[in-house]
This record gives sequence, C-alpha cells and structure tokens, in this order.
Amino acid sequence: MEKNIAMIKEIIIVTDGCSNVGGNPAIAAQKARQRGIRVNIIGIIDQKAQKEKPFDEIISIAEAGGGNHEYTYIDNLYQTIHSLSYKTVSTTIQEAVNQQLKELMAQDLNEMPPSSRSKLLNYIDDYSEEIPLCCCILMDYSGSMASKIQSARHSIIDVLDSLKNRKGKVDISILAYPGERVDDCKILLDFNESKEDMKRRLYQLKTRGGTPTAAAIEFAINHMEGFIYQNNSSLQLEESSVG
Amino acid sequence: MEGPILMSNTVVESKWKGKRYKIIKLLGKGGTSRVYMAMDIDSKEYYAMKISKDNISLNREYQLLKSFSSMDFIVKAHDIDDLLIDQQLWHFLLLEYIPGVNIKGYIEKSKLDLLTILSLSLLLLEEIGKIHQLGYIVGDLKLENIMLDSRNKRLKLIDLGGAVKKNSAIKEYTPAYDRAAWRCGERRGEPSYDGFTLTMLIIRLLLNRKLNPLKDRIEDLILELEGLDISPELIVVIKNALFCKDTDIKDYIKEIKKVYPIEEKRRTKKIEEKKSRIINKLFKASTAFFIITWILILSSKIIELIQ
Repeated sequence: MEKNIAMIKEIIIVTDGCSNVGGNPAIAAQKARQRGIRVNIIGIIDQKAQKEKPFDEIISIAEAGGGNHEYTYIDNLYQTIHSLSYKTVSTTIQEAVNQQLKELMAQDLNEMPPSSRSKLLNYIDDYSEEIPLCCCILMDYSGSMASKIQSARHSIIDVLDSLKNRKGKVDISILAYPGERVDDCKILLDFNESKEDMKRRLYQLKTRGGTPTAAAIEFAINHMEGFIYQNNSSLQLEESSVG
Repeated sequence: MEGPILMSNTVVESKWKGKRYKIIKLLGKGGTSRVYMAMDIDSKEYYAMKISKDNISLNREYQLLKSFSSMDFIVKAHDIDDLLIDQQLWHFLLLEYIPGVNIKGYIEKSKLDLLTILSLSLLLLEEIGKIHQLGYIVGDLKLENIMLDSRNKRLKLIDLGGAVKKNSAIKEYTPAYDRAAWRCGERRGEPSYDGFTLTMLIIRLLLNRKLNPLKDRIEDLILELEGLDISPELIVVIKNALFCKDTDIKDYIKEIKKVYPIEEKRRTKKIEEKKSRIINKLFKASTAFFIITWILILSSKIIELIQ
C-alpha cells in the first residue's frame, strides 16, 4: 500500500465565483483526478451580501476532482484551507486502506464493527501526519477578489506556517490566476522556495480580469508533475552516483 | 458536511448494538458534526449524541475521552457506533449529557467580574495541567466548549476534538485564541500553546468583546487592558504568558495565585472608598439638614420676637 500512495497530491482552489473564461473546470479537475491529484475547492462567500451559496460549479469541480468543497467567509479562509488539507490526506489514505481491505477480506472499514475498525483508524490517523504531501494552492486573483485579497494574503502565509509542523514532508506551491496571459498562472511560491520570496510577490500582485479556472487547473497539474518528475530524477541521480 | 438534520422525536437505531434512541433536540453543530440530545429508549437516560461522517476524528475523540475518563472535568464517552439515516451511513459518539450553559452563552447575558475570571482561569489551568501530564495538549480550547454543569456546579469540557499528542501539529483551532494567528508562535502541540490560548480567553473575558487576529493587534489589546481597572502585576502576568515561548502551566498557576490577592485588595479598597464616600455624603447632607432646620427655627423665633 505504501507504494501506491507514497505521496498525497492535492490542488486547493480558492475562488469567489464561477469561472467565466476558458474551458470547463470540472473536466480539468477530472483530468487531475485521473493523474492521482485530488482537487479541493473553497468558495468565498461575501459577508455583507448574504447571498445564497451561488456556485453549483464548485460542487461539480470537487466531485470531478475527487475532493471536498467548502464555503467560507474570507476571515475564516486559513482555517478552512488547513482543515481541508488534513481531510484530503486522511480520506486519501482511508480510500487506499479500503481498497486493500476489499481485496483482502471483501469488506471495507464501514463494514467492520467499531471496535476492530478503531485500530485501522488509528493507523490512518498517525500515517496522515507522516505521509509526504505535495500541495498546490490556486488563488483566484480576478477582479472580483480585489476587496478580499488583503485577508487572503494573510491566510496564505498562515497556511505555510501551519503545514510545516506536520511530521511528514510538505512541498507547497502557490499560484495566482489569471497570470500574464489567460492560460497561465503567476507563481507566487514555487516548490522549494522560502516564505520570504513569496511575501514580496504577494504584495506586488494586482487583481485582474476574468476567472479562467479550467486553464488554471491544467497549469497546476503541469506545474506539480514537473516538480515531482524533477525531484524523482534528481533522487535517482543521487542514488546512481552513490552506487 | 455538517451532520444530519434530525427532527425532534425521530427514533434512530445504532447499527452494531441495535440500541434505540429518541432525538430530543439539537444541542449544537460544529464544522463536521451535529450534536443532539437523545434519550435511550430502554433506560430512559439522556445523552449527547455527536453525529458525523468523519470517523477518523470521532474515533480519535472517543479514545481520547476514554483515556481521560478519570478526570471529572472532561465529559464521559459511553459508546461509538454507526447510524443509517435515509440509507446514508453516519458515525456517532454517545456522550454524557450535561445540563447547563456554556461560558459563551453565560457571558452573553452577564459580564464576569475580574475575580471570577481569575478563579475560572485557575480552575482551567489546573485541569489543563492534568491533561498535559497525560501527554496531551488541549489545542482548541474555547468558551463554547466549557460548560457550567448545573447539577453539580462544576466546569466540564465537552469537546476534545482538537486535542493532540504532545509535539504533534495542532489540527483544529480557533483563530481568536490561536497563537499562530496572532503571530506569537507556532501551531505545535506544546504546553505553552494551551497557555497562550487560555491567556487569550482571559483577555477576551476581561475586555468583554470578541477578538479578531485579522483586525486587532496584540499590542493594542494590551493597551486596552491597561485602560481597565487592572493591577500592573496582572498585566505583567498576561504579557509573560503571551510572549514567553515556554510558559509552564505550574508557574502560570503560581503567578495567578500571586496576583489574585492583589486584585482582591483593590476591589475591597474600592468598595471601602465607595462606602466612605457615601458616609461622607450622608454626613454632609445631615449637617446641612441640621443647619437648615436651625436657621428655620431661629428665623421663626426672630419673626415671633419682632411680632
């Protein structure tokens, strides 16, 4: 099992509305899912507007991406990112355990009585702390986010502080979309960069234009896979030079 | 996913033990769960039933509560089982039902005075210290999770969902009391994390308003405290707990015990001052009355004499 899920890969999208430029984000999310990357999405609700939760799209992205969705006020954003990323890790492991159980004993966790289930759940809980996590946060920087961005900046820095306390390795990258062009993202924090690099860029960044969520997901997939590929090949190089 | 919506008088049956419970009312809801007051139909006993999809966190909480079962401060866990509601599988914890109000509800109606806040924090610190001795950090300590048990007049902690083993990462927190949100330290399970949280609770109670790390600065909170009628000694204790990275709970208790009589003296002094002010006023009033009556009597005598 360890081999199957040597690393948890996830994308967390933070947006305040529907995509309005480019392709269908649910299809992009499904593509991520097929590549073993879970897509979670957080919908920012306006505290003053008190609107109904408007975004069907958010649910469809999370479903297609095998992840969770949550609505939150901008003030609670960091708490939501924090709890979503923990949830992703534990559900991913739980699903993997379930799959193994099905193969071994033709039953899953929920079909076991609570007392015997408990040991496995403990194991999942501990393992969730230790398994390496590769996470890409996609921030919607379109025009409509302008008023909320001050808070969002704070949240991002906070998430970094929080995740570094995990026992396992965490690789995190933060992208803002749209970037210079509609189909790319601005890299606020690349994997392997320090928080200080990002702080400067965060404050220079201006909100702009539409919300091309589909393109942004595609960009995040490539960005993440590129990093993992590079990391693996450099590991292999090290090993071969030692050998 | 917040937990299922159940109407009063709905009867649910646990999947493994086959026990039947009648839902009485909703007691509260959290991020991933709902808590109902429920009655065991056989024994007629009341319980708090916490229902959620998140079996990892329920399982963690159940085991934690079991390992703290010797502590009266912490709510008792009786069972863990599953429920089928509209063909959907849910998990639940069966907890001791505690009648009464939580501190958050209480302070909405009446403000706590300083001495009560100090005694409350002493009680909480003692209990937190015991939890630390068992190798755990409370993590997400907040007012709505502390109940004033009306049966035996005790404090009860009703939610341990945020508790973690020492030195692991804090998984659940409330920004208003979280030291990382205030840029005062890391979100790691150390005794000083709980020390900070408790200090923010004290500040919240003293200032009698909500705190928001996105809008307030911690320095301004201290200025605000200094504007209240609080001894400089207590301000120092609060500052130490906020900015010292390795607050020891036992030392913290000692510090508060030292400050308590100082504050107590200030209060009694104030009351005495108030009393003497009242006596002064009474004295002045009675002298004035005395003089006026004399003047009246004299003037009437004089008038009599003239006539």
